[in-house]
Amino acid sequence: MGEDTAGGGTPHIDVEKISSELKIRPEVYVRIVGSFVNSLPGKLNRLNEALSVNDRDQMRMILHEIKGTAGNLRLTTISAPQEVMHVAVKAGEDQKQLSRYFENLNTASQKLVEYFAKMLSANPE
Amino acid sequence: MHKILIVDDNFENRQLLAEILREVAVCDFAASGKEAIEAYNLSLQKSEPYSLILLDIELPEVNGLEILNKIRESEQNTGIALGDGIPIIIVTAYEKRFIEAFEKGCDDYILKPIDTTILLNKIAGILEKADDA
Repeated sequence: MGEDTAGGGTPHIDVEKISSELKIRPEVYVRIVGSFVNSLPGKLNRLNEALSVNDRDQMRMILHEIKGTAGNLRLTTISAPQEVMHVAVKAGEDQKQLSRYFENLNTASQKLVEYFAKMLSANPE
Repeated sequence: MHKILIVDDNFENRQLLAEILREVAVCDFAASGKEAIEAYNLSLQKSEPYSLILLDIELPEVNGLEILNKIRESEQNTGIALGDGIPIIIVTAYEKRFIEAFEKGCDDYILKPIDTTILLNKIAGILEKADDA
């Protein structure tokens, strides 16, 4: 996989490697990742709302949404904490534990958003 | 150029699939079960049927398996035997679900995260058959 966690959870997206693996144009890959990254804060807000009222179905749905796209785009720093929370929701773990998993996912998401913004500003084209 | 209907409620997944398929087909999109059935019916009305449908299982309201069921029922009602209808590849993150999908008449499945090589090989096989028919 082309994205890994270097330096304690800092994402790194190897655009050339992943787009080559996916057999798509690098600029299109960046555009699709950009769309996903922009949608992440909204998804996590919805997830947090669902968590606050312990709506397991809604949590499962949102996590599934994140899972599919993060996996397809090889964004492993997101898909790993997503998977942990997804499994915990399905296993019926308590809300307190789910909140911890949510924080991990939220932190990973924020790091990805920041990384992507930096990546774009370093490579504006 | 073949025409493929991509059914997925996630915008990024639809864009990714269309980009992967850009050299083999023109893609239409449906973001829900309702849109998928409408697109399928419209293609038949216009006598421009899809060569293939890529169908995500996890959709809100009407899920992929229900869409598959509806399409196969509609084909049977018009005298099309199971196996002769429009090819449908199920897209799912859960391997177990494809067994149910096979029972309902899907032709093949692809697991998420998508492996492009596997996807393109499966699609090439189906489109070659369609060209030969």
